[in-house]
Amino acid sequence: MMHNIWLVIKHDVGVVLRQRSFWILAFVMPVILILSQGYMLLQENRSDEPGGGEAEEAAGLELPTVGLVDEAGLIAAIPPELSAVFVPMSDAAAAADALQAGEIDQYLVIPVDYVSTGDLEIYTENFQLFGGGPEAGVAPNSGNDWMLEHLLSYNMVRDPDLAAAVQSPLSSVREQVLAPPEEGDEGQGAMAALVAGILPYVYYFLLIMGSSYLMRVVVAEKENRTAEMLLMRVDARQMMIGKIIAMSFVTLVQFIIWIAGGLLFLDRGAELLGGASFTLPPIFVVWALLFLIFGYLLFAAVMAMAGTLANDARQGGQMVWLLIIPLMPTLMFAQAFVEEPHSPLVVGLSLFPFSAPTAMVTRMAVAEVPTWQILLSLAGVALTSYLFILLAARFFSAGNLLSGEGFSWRRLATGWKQGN
Amino acid sequence: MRNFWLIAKRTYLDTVAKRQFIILTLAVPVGIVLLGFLGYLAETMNEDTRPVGYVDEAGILDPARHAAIPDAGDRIQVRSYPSVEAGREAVTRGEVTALFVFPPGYPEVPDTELYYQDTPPGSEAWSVMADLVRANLVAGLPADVQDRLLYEPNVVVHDVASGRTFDESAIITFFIPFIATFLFFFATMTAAGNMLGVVGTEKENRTIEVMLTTVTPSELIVGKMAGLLAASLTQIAVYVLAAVVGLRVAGTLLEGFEGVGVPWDYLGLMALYFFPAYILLAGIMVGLGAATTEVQQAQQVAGLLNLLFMVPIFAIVLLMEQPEHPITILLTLFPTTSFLTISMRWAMGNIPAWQLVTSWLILAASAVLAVWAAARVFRAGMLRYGQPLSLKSVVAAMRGAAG
Repeated sequence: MMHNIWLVIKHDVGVVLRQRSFWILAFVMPVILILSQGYMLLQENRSDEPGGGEAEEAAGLELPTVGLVDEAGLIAAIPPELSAVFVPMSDAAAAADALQAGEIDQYLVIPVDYVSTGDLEIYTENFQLFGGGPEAGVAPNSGNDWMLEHLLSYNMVRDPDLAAAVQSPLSSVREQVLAPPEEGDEGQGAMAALVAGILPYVYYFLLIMGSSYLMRVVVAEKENRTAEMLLMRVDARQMMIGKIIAMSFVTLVQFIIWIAGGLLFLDRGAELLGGASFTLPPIFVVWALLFLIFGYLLFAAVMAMAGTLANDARQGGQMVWLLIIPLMPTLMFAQAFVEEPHSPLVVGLSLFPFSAPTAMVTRMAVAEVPTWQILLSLAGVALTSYLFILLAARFFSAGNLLSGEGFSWRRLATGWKQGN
Repeated sequence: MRNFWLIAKRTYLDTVAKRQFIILTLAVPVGIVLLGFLGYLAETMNEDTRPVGYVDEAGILDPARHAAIPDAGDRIQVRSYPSVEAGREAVTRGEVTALFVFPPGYPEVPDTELYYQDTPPGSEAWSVMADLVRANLVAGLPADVQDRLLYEPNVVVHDVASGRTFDESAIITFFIPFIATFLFFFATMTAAGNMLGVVGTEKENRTIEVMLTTVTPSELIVGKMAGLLAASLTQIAVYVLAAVVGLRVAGTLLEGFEGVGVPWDYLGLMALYFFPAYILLAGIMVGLGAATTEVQQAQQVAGLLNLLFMVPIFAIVLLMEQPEHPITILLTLFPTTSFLTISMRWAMGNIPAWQLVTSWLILAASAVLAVWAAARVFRAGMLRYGQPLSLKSVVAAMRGAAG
């Protein structure tokens, strides 16, 4: 019996590892993810560097030049710090000419009825909703919108100090924590966000890829009829055990490649961000591996089941969607994991067996999780995977493996009986 | 011509009649609504609605002015404490989310203290406190000037290069093309899977030989593409209809959605790009299906090719922040990425006309080329029955056709 299982493992591992697409995906996917997430983080980090009061920040950057058409007669004086930004213009036509000639980046029109309506008009070229820099001028989201607000409040209040206070009443706040958290991990916030951004994707791909390889192998053997020959020598359950172990090995290879790359990146990333290097405690790695193993077994069992019921690769592929759905919320609410790691949504996701493998590990990476929750979640995943393996073994019968029938919900509901 | 229509009709009916197609088509709009609802739920569940406390050592704050702040009825309340000790105790008891202490001489002395238990207060607490201070500071000014100082201005940005305008609803409008991008992507990828399978399945079960006795390879391929295109269009029509109805309903029910209309200019632009992008993808997938002998084998390669179409999604931050970046322009012009890139960039601002025209021409030319090559590869694949085509023989097949 052991010999047969060993043969199945050897064969299946060989098949997957010989596929060029496996190796491409193993290396390309993490590179794309890390590059895109890293870029995003660098951008964010650059924008909130310490010591960056708005005025100081602006001083380091190139200032926009904005034509000012004051039809309301509101602007009596331009605040000295903004004298380089706003250029008074006689009327809209002159401002339009200046814009076309490239003398100004954009122009602002304050209509006659501004004080009663609050309407303002900005005219610009090649506007970008999220684009910073001088081209964005003082438009909303440009990062310079405070200049516009300052110009207006300065002239409506006519008292520079009061105007500054009205514009930002809480400009100088010293924060005091009455019950500081036990571990001071303030500097690790950015890296935690990065880990929360990447980790669910890594687990997502590991779980889905490993288990869908399994399904594909099962379906392929059904399609090209090798299942018939295999079943002459090997028992259906031995085949299933062999395949699950084989694909675990494949997933492990991928896991090692990705984690090695990830650790290298975390070191380098921490350097780039100028903080202390982000370290994950060794116990975290142990938990992460346990969740991966049990999560993988659960997904593999479901996929093996799907494989026995699907008639061709296309049908099988569609079943993968069923498993992707519970993993999606963790990808989508990654931000919630960082900001509110103990909110009901996050706790719920990290306890539900089908989402727990990604959700709990992500949560553990960013926050301290009570041990009872980790144990409960892991036990849930382990128990569910045990149940599904039992169920999959029933599906993994000659009757289903040799059947030419397509997938149907009726077969899903009754297929397990064939194992009896 | 008759054969072409027959094939197109058959393919279309076969595809749309599948239960799976119907479920997927309807599930996506329902799923988006559900996810939106879940997101809303997650957002509101995490909200801290406790009041925010303050100690006014400067003697400038009248709590009654809370009524003057924007949307006062929907905002969290404020609570005044006589001393820092009393306020701190209230924070420890959990009565208030945080305590702001304004020193004597505020606002000339702007150094404020903030006390909180373990997590800093949310943005709502900060903004209510700031608004309350503002409302008190401007109390002596005329009513309309007060409004101007308390409410944000309504800025309308006119882009003189394209004639488009962006107002405060632009941020919401931004999400429409963004979601649409994913829907388009989803529809085309589903179609790509079908495309791959359509020729593959018939090759596997050998019906293709029978079919080819009556129709030419080009008729077969173009007919199948047209049928699947029609199926995708059906799917997209359902999405668009759901979106238009959804926007109309949201416009009447939800706060902040009043000014949001259906972006017809965006839909028109997307229609222009959709056809060549679809044909390009179809050409690639059909060629792939023809060059391989098993659907499974083709699927693996297709997975990698799909990545070529997905790149803009990974580069979204770059597209958002640096429209002039060489990579952004490359993604705009490259045929497999232009469709999604244009879709996302349109939401975020103006795209120079030369980029639009050039990228469309490149895309259209690539689409024509892909269909031509697919038909060639398909024919060569038929002759070498049962053998997968190597890259070399695929190139040779195209060369042979050109010569």
